[in-house]
Amino acid sequence: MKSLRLSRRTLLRGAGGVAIGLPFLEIMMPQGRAYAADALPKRYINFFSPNGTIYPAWVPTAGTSPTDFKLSAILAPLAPNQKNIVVIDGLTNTAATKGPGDDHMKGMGAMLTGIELMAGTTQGGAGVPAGLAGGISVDQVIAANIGKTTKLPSLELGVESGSAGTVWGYTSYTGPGQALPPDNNPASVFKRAFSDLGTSMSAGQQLAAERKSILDAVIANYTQLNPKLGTADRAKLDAHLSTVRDLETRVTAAGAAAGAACVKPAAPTGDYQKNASFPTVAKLQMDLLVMAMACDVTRVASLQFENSVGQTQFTWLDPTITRGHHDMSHDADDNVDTMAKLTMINVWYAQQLNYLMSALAAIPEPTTGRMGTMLDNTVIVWCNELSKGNIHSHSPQPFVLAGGAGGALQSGRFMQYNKIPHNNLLVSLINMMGGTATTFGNPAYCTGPLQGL
Amino acid sequence: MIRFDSLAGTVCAVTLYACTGAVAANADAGSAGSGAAATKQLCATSVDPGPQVVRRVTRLEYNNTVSDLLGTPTTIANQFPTEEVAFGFNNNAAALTVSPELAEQYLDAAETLAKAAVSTNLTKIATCDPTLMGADACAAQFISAFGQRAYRRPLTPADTALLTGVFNAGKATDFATGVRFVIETALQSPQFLYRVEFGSPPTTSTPTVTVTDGSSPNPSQVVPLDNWEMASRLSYLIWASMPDDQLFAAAAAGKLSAPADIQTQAQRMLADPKAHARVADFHNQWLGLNAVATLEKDPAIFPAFSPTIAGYMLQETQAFLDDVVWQEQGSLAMLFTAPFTFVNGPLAQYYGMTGVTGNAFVKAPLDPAQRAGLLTQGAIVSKLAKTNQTSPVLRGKFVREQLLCFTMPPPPVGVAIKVPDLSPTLTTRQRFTMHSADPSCSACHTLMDPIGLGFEGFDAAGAYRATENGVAVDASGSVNGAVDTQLAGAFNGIVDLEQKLGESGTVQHCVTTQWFRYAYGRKETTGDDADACSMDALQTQFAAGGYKVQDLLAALTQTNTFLYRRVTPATGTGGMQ
Repeated sequence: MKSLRLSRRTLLRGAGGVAIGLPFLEIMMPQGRAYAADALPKRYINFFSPNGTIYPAWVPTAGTSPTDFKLSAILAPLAPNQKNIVVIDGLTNTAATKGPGDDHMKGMGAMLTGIELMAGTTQGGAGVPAGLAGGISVDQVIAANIGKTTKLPSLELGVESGSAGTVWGYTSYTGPGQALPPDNNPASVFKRAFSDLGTSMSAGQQLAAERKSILDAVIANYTQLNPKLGTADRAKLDAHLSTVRDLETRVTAAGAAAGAACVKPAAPTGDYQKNASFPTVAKLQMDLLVMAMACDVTRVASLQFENSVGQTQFTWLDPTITRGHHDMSHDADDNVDTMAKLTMINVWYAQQLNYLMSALAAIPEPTTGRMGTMLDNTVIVWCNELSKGNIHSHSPQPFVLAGGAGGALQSGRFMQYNKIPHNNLLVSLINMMGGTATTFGNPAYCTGPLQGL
Repeated sequence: MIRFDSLAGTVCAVTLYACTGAVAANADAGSAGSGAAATKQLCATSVDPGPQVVRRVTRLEYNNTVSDLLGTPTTIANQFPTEEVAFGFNNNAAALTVSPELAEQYLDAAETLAKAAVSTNLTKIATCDPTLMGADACAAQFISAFGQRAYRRPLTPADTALLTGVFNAGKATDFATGVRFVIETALQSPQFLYRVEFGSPPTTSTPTVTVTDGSSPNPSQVVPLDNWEMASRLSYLIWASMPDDQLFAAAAAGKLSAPADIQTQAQRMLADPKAHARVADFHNQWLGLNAVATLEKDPAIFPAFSPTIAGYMLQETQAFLDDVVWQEQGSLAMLFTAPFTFVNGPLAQYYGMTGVTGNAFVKAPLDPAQRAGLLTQGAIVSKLAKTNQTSPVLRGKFVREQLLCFTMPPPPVGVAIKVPDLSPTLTTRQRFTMHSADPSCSACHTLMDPIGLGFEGFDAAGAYRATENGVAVDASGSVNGAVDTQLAGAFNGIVDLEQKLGESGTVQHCVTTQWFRYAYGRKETTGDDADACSMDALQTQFAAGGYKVQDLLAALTQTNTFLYRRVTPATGTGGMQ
């Protein structure tokens, strides 16, 4: 098998004499030893779809215990993976009920940050103008933990996401107002993640050395200049300097090695902006995401379908769906036709989640105490900025977790809560991925990890 | 509170307070400048440019700058993440941040551009011959010349030392690699990506005023820009790019200090085709034209509409705006009342116009009973509509917010907002009646819907229509709550509305305000302070030539805001204060 190299600074463990026919952890670990849970390469994925759900068609039917539940119409496509999901009902996005912004904005900004929006100038459909999210998002806390050794600490992918520049357009933040824009173009995701995969070791080392020389000079340049600036200008350029420093660490530090399932994908082409391309782009982006994880390019990702108030027309599901998703989400509950169509849209999203889960489950990988799949070491969080679209509510938020989080998540359950702030879930997610959080977001809406999860 | 409209299922809210309050708060927007005696007094005695944060290049500016710097046209920055939008524009200095992805893209672009430059263009970029002159001497010459263009000012000894060090790291491979390293470094440096300004030291002949900058605890000095900084201010304002050789020469000769010299350069630059892209970018953002190319309509209702037609509509509006501003040297009024547009064969056929064939766009007269100026163009009326029906609310809101600079208060949180369902028998006007009939809705919607209903002569896909559902279209409208007498009151159809807009002081003031925000990369301060003087100066110059857009552009180079900067003390090596 051809040796694949992840990045210019990667030392491919097992390169040379060792045939890479096994997942890399098996190569690195003495055979026959029990795998320590903290050595497993855990992975985390945000999976966002917008504009609220249709709750009666979403909520499962509870049985006699959390493991005994019947999937709803919307979640039915997850049946092949029912034992790998945790459906969570009854959480409230409390931070989204406070602070500036309209309900889409607040829901979107607080969804993974658990904190109110910053003040700003973007006027939504209601409320006072607002800025971007007021804090770091959970995926970035996780990336700071488990993304240190990979080429990219995290990878943000979009499927025809819009509203860039406003809180409607982002799910992921490295800090207050520091949005990570999703990349809608599979070709550019490919370039970012895989362009240097398979280049020779010496070329990679040479490029890393070049980049170090140049980024050292760039950093020195900012370091010389910044103290000469006034307060406001200095704040801007200091922030820029810190991203360059992070970049240098990334492009020159030692990386991890690829698993056996790592195969450099073909470079994607085609129009990624047309409404009709939506399902094609969705599949392309998920394929790239799975391969980026298989190649250990990153261990943390966000997959953002549309954006908050997204207007995708799901014509490929039904040619009579000619209105935008957000327009439809405003229709009243008694509009049977629209409710059926919105359900269809959410069913489609469940199908996508099932596809992503199945792709991860097709990659063998050791998990706690046994041979499992990459899905066992992953947690995917299907989230939405709203509960009910036509009244813009924030409770109950429809959350589905997928995967096993490397043994930290007992899946195959339906968990019901009563208006617990979703910040508690965010704490649990951090801890599932190896963190030690006790609170997250605005501590006023957090009492610790989500009990029972 | 939620109210259900029995006629059409419209849901409204009690918002009387929000909109009646807003009318009073926005009343000042109707006057052509602050005009207050206190402002006049302040402007006569004080020079204050207002607060300014260091400006980063936008994607447009990056593309233009590297194209000019390296001599090869490129659109490489189109792959960068979209800028954050604040106060309507993507170049608000305070809002622009650098995400990890953008830093990575800067690295990637620098590598790609530098590699291409040395492999295809080395002798143009480094004009000396290292084999004749010696590598080090040739490198010194290259670093000095290229560095000055990349940083847009002469290099300091520290700059030179830094770039020479980078060159030497690459020289170990070969001369071209050293050059490539210098280019890669420069393209990621703050002096290239930002317009770093310090101003020139105050002299006895320049006014200095101490102001208290809200962004800093320390008092600020007001100083004029230095000549190099001014060259960049001019070039980015008018060309969205780096200075050309003439601007650099003027800076080197100290000919960019006197306002008259700056005005001369501005006029020269406005005559250059490079100015067109800058004005087009303003229009794209101000009018929201970027959304037009990807418009989609319900094919069952609008079978003739297609992505191709949407693209042509965008081209029509862009060609029209370019023509009015540059070829016609037109006024603001002409923007709204021009009796012509630009169409090609397919678009003319779509509109029902005759006499135009082929794919090239040509200037064509309009039927004055149906169309005139900007607002009847397909791009505008179909952008401000739903996929399957017109939207009087969106159309009215656009006029209020973009053209009158009136901030529409939003409906309160928790209200469901729903467009009335389509009806085979009712007209849009009838379906929207409840907005204005129900007092809980009408307090706000009276400011938007009566304007938007005046657009009913155009369907959701940009076609003129005389009837809707077999009923003759009623395109009567009204601008309610306006203090501007040019504007207030009833009108009939868009053409009539545009006559009023073209002469309106509110529109003139609003366009000045939008240009201020775009040109200076920040929102104007409010009240009788620094920016009121710059705004007054702009209004006066704009009016003097009969509200020609080109005059406004030139005037933007003559304000206190443009000519001076507040200097806050250096923060020092001790870090942030």
